[in-house]
Amino acid sequence: MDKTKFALFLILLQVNIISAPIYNTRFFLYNKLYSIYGKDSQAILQESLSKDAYLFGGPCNPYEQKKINEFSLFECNNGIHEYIAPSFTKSSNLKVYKLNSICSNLSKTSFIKDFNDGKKLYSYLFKKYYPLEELPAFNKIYEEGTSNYDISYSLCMSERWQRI
Amino acid sequence: MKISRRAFNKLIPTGYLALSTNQLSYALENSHQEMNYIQINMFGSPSRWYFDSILKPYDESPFVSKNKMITTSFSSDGINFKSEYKTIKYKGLNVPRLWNEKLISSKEKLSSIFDQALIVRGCDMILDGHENISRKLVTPFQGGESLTGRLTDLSNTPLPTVQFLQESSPLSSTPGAFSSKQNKAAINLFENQDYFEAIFIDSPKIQDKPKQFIKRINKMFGITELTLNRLSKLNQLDIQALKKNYEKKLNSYNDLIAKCRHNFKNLLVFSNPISGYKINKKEYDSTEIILNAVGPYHSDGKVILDNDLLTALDTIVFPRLADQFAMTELLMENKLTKSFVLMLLPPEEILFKKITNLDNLQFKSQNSKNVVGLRDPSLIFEESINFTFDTHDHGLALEYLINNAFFYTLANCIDQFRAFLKDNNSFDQSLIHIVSEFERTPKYNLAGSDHGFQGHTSTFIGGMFKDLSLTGNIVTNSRSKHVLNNDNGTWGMASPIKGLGNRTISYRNVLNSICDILKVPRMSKTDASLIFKEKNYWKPIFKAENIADG
Repeated sequence: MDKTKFALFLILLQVNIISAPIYNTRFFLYNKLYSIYGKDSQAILQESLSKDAYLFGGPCNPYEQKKINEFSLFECNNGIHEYIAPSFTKSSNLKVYKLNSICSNLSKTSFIKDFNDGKKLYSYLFKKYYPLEELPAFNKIYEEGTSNYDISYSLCMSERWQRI
Repeated sequence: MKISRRAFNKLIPTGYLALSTNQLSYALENSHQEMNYIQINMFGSPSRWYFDSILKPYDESPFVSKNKMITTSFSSDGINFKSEYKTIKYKGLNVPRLWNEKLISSKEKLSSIFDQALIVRGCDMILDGHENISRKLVTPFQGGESLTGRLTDLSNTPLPTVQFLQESSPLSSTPGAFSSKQNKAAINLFENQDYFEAIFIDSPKIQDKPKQFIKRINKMFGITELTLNRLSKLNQLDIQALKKNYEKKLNSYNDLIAKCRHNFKNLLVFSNPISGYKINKKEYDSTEIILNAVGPYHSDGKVILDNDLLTALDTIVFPRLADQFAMTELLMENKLTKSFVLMLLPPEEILFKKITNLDNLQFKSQNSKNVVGLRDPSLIFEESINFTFDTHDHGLALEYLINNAFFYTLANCIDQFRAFLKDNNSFDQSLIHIVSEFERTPKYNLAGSDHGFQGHTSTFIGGMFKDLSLTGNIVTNSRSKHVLNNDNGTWGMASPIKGLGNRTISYRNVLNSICDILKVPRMSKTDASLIFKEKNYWKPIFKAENIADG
């Protein structure tokens, strides 16, 4: 058994090195964040996610000739070549850099600013970002008096909800 | 855990197998990429004999001049023309006349940009096809890891390879072949994008407290790697200062290009007049195909009739050339990435005042001779043309005019870029690679040129070369199955090299040479490099020879 364990250990080491998390596409990001932050987020998300099909993943649909809505991520906003953008992507410095800006801007929206109770905001946001998870106690993550911005920003920048 | 010695010994092969995965073997066999790689890629393949394709390197090199399109000296009065492959001597080599021109910034001769350079010619690309060969330029094995992917994987810079794309073939050419073993993606900047805004945005600096909160949330899900750490270098950038710096560089390159444009009329390569075709002047004994008569003045189904073709260069633009060099400098200066692919765009907006369609011309009888006249004299018009590097249908006059203008401007940009590298103490650590898919084979009627995929030139510039050197064999008179290109003299078709086992240079030899210079593992295990190191400088193994066609 010990020999087997050691061999398995070597194999798992190899597997662990090879596998890397895969991230949801910009379509998922858009829908998720829009559902959380509402109309205030629309301009921010359209501006950032429509330009970066390759960075966030999510090829456009070259056959979409008629706009379903006023704006559509499915439209090839930057040229027909976007139809071969990757379906899913891995983490990259530039992606985190841009997401940092998106999360910061979303956390400055009036929807977040005007939320009266930080703990209620945390509860709302955590359930939206992680609907299948049990809500941890507020003070397990945050300190008393943590600003609405920091609560929103930190949840937005957390990893798990972005991954497949 | 108890393991007997016998059992442990049995497990060693298993362990070794596990360890010899790509990622781990990578980590064990190499160091981080220290060198910069800048590929200047002219997709479409312009004729390089004006610039860096050396066809008659030494006085004793056999050279067959059969096609007037292979030229470095052209003039025309619209009736007759003179075309000759003239060279000047530089560091023991016979080089194109363009090398004698003066550079704008440094005031030195254009030849100075090749002072520390290696030119590899006579590389056989085996199969034809722009996209397929363009992808080969970074990927030796179809669908496999690319050189640019390897450099990204080995680099410790915050950003991966940056590729400046062009609309005409965005991802089916070299940039599309990017492939990294670690599944990283390159940054692709598109022709119509604002390069600065595509990369740099106002991304706020992360404070310690939010960082702690994020760490706690991640830890709850078993995620210990803090991707925020990836932000550290990028977050430190002062975006406003960067923007100012970029604009300064952009203005500098734009200024340089404008000065080049104003200087075209002073160039030695344009010292003799170049006129468009003169109607009803030249006499022909017999009625030939019109295109054969007006070939040198042909431009994609039209014929140029301007009196002075040089004036068309007054409006010429070089799309995104300044932007590409400026952004490359900015990213290098801030140590954000170390490898670049610049897909250059062909010049545009070359305004000719008198053009007519080819089918508006016909042979007419005049004094018992034939001349070429107009069917309808009113069908002469003004047109601004966008050039292509793939000059199947651009005749000698147009090719000579625009290629010289383009290469002169490019040389000036390279000169300025080289000065930047030297100022930043990076010239010795940087490899500039000037490349296109293949050479060109001129058509017998001088109305255009086709793909010479059996020949390819790669030019390398960098501080790792002590001097200018040339390698690669070419045949002196190529044979082709195609009537249009057969027996058209020396144009750069590859010839075998004894030292390579009597084979022609393959692009894998070139790629491995690049890997040696960049100090990264070779792309192919079995193909030889073309260079060796002597006292810290790289030199070619084989001397360049012109071989008489058997």
